[in-house]
Amino acid sequence: MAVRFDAATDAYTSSVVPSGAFTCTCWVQLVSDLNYYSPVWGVFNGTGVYRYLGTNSDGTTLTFFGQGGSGSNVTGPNMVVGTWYRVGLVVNGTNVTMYHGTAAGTLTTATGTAGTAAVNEFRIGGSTFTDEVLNGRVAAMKLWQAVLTPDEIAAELAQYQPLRTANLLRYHPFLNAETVDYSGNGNNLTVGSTATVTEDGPPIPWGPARPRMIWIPGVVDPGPPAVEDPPMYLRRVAPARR
Amino acid sequence: MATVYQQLDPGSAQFLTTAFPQLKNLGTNIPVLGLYYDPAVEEAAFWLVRAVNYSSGNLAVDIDWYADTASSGDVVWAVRVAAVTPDTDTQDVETKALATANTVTDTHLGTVGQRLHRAVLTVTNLDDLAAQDDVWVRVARDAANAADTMAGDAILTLATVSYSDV
Repeated sequence: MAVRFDAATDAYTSSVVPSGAFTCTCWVQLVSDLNYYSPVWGVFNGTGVYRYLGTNSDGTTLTFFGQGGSGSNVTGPNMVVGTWYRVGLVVNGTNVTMYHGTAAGTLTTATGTAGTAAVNEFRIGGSTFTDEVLNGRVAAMKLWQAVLTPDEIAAELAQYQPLRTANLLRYHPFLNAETVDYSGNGNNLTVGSTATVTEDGPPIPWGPARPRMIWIPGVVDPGPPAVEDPPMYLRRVAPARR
Repeated sequence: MATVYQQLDPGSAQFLTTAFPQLKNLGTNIPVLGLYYDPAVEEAAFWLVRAVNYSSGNLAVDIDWYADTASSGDVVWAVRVAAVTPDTDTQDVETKALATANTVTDTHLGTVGQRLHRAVLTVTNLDDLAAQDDVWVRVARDAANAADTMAGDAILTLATVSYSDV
């Protein structure tokens, strides 16, 4: 499942933001092309500092906007409405790497730079620009305060549950439209002024296949044949004498 | 001879990129993780098992399910398998086809909408299954079947494959 956003006031927010290098993975799907900036997630400080993932002004070209002192955009795929995309994003100092792909196949890499000015708000499904709206779905969002490798990112995008728990700052599977942080850090989100709903999600399992233990009942060794009790013979006993 | 059981939990189900049941985790006092099968479109989930100590005979697949919203009607479950013998079969595994489906119709027992049911399905189309084969098990709701009359989603909470061992 996934959470559906369709209004600027839907956005989930939190004051807990990553510090230093971080990696964020999630699945995103556009439900409607608004022909305008459609923010997926990002970190902000008002409208002057922002580093966020969303579409460009055309409404479909997935882009990471790395502004905030300096920085350049990272351009991802031209998204097709109704198609799920995997996106992993690594911000390491001023270097930004985006990994993206549809549900099948390998991930494509794009790079750019980001500013490093301080941020104070994390947002999903909206930006600090009030005219920007995501009309789409988000699922399996995980954020680490660490740089994950491309292989780690591909593995994380293949399931809802986080494989890596070290440095996990927040984890929102969005099996339901809810704001709980399942990382254990208590970094719950704050709902916007309008409600979000639960809708269909991406084609990934909850987690890896669990080990299955199979007991094969063995043949019970009956052991050696039982020794028969010796035959018993009844005999007439003479009555006791007085 | 005994029976081997292999449990297929919803959390480890694999999917193709289209027509797959949605995964939800609900429940007030216990987490109920389930796959939500649509009543109008055939959706399928897959698991890979190794047929450890399989001897011969049919597979039994127990499908534990409950209704999302309905309290009556029938659900038709369909299971297909694809068996591959490693080191022996030369078939490209990525283009391997599934055997014909076997189905079972299970009736909602009423009284409480979200009560748990168990449908017992017999797989007779075994795709030449042999001991130690890798077996892909596809579980679907046969939504297009006229016998599937239950409204709303059918939620699979567990499937169990069993067979006789050597």
